[in-house]
Amino acid sequence: MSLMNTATGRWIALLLLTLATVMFSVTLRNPYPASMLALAIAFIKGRLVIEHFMEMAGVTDRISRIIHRIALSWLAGVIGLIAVAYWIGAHP
Amino acid sequence: MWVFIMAELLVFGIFFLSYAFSRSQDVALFNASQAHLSRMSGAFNTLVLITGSYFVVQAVQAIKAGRQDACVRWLAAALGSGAVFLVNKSVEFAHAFSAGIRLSTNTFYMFYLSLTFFHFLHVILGMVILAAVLLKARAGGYSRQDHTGVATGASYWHMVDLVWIILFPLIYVLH
Repeated sequence: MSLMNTATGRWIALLLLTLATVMFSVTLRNPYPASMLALAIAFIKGRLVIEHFMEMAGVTDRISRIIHRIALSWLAGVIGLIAVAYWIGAHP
Repeated sequence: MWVFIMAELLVFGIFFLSYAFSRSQDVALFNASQAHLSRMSGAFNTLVLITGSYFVVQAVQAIKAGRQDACVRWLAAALGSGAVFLVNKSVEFAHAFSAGIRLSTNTFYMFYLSLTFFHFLHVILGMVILAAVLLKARAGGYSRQDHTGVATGASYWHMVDLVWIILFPLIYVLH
């Protein structure tokens, strides 16, 4: 089993994505693309937590599948609407 | 527990969107105020919470394998990471208060203090849940066949982590 398929691999990926968020926010001059990138990274991190730390990936029973969908919908909805709010702020 | 977690996610979601859309009304004020926050402190706390979640994953895997002692050790490590988060956040709050920052200072700081303190309280509740699970695990209350309590406590802790994963870029990074 490769490292990235284990909990340890996903933990390392989450740490690296956090550091990437900070790095992009410091190095990218234009704040709007940097913000969108940070939101995209937050979505990837959130999905990793929901699917692998919460063990929602590959669930088969009906209730767990519903919870999985609600959690992912919450993540996508919140991050999507935050992106809309930042787009409004960047294009007054 | 999942109904409780979903309700918590809904409340935090409303908070996040209130912040984001309030910011769109006064971008300059939010950016100027955000510049006074320590991004490194926020990033450090993110790493600490993610690591705590990793420890909880290991605790669940340990009890599923019937290793009660290992489960207790991983839960203790997760509690330790929660304590580190609380200490670091308390230092950050102390710096903010000593700089004269209050809820009434401006809209950004109202959101910053209320959102992060609300999350702070959830970390404390998560630690109380993990401590209860740890005590029961130490007393031999969980096994390979019966580990629902560990998985349930773990889910709450992951929810606290998930919320911070959005809160950190929103408050400390996006500008």
